[in-house]
Amino acid sequence: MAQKVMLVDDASFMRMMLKNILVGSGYEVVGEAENGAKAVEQYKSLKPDLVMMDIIMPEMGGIDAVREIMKVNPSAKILMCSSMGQQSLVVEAIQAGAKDFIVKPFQPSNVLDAVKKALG
Amino acid sequence: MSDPTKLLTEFQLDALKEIGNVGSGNAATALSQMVGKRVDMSVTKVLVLPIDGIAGFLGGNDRNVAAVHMPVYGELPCTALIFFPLDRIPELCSMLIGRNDEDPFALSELGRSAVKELGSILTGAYLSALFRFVHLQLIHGVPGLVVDMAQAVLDTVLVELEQRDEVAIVIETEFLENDRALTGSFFLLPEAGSLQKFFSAFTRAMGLPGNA
Amino acid sequence: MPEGTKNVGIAEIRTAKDPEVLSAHGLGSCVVVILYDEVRRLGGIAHPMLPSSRNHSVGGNPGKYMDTAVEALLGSLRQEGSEPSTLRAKLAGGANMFATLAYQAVPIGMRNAAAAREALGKAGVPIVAEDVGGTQGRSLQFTLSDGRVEVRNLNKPGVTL
Repeated sequence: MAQKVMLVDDASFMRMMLKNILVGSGYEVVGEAENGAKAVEQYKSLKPDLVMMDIIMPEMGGIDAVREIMKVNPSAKILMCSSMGQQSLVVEAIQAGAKDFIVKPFQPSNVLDAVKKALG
Repeated sequence: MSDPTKLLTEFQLDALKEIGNVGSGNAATALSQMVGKRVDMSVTKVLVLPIDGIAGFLGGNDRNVAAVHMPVYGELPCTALIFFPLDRIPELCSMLIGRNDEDPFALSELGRSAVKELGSILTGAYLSALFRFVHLQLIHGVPGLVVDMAQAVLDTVLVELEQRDEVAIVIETEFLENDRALTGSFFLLPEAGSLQKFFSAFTRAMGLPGNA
Repeated sequence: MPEGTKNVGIAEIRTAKDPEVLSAHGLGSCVVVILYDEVRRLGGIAHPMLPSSRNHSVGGNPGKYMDTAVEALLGSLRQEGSEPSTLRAKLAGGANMFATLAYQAVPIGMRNAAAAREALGKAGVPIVAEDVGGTQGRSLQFTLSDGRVEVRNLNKPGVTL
């Protein structure tokens, strides 16, 4: 059965790119959210195997969303998607519970390696 | 109008050029990865411009641009802007999202998202080059997109910034893909005192004595 | 653009007379005040950045703030023989282009427009036409032979005031 992934990014373009990479490799994208608050909501109902989380978003950012999702499920698997120059935020996200990170723009091979590793 | 070259020492100007080179290199790599094609770059201009010099720099014409703007938080608060010539946007969208029918004056939601994301990623590229030299935390925030005349966009940002520093750091990069060239103009508009902080941090980071 | 058109840049004030032409490019949130004396066929444009000089030091440049800019423009025109009672005003600009850069509750464009109306009201100069607000930048050309103001958006023709 395909592993279920949820995509969180305020840019529909980024979600589209990630979806193409993931679906092309047999993953199922079960949900998309454009900010951290919506991500937390959807996580509760969708219970995906993996969340790919952008860091800077309006309403609620990625780091806060990681904290909230970890409260819902301490074993949640979250992969951060950061921009060049935001590495200090990545550290904070990992301390909050994220498993790993990838840097935009995405190389498909890097994405798939990180996803495989995070899903363990 | 004040002479922009007198605003900086020769050393500072060299430092800025190096930042421009590194930033543009990062940006070209990022653009390459986004469009899936090899992109080279040449840094055409790197300078510090006084606000009243910007109209002259833009050639005094009403260039139409797609302008991605975002706040920069952290130890050097500023506003970052990237301008792309509007007439190249359809081509850019075609490369980014595979749509050939984007009207630059009425971009689709996906088209807008792609351009914003490109602007955000390129800004990250320039800022990370800056970080390498000044070691100041710089986090860029949520991007917005405005399609309008370059001068109108700058005018609005400058007015919104009100009493903040009256200079902008400008890096203009020509991106070359095959036989096509796209010029991206990156503006960093620091808040009051930020520019001084920037150069002090640079001096410290290079282990240099005294004020730069 | 006719040859010899003089541009009024940000924080500048210029006067001109028939057959000259003045322009103002790339107006975002700035509001320009265009004054015209149709009898003497002379006038001017003030292109300030901010509504009020209160709490700021004007320094050498009255053109930067709406209140001091309008006063300075009226002063220059008075020297050429145009009293405020003979002048008519038109306004353009004051767009709210950046939704995400809204640092204040009332966008600066609207505040600039309000300041223009206040300054002109105080001076007794009636506003006869305006193209203010919206979300798009403007460029304009002011022809001193007949006082007409042609506004463009994104390099496409807009209104004529």
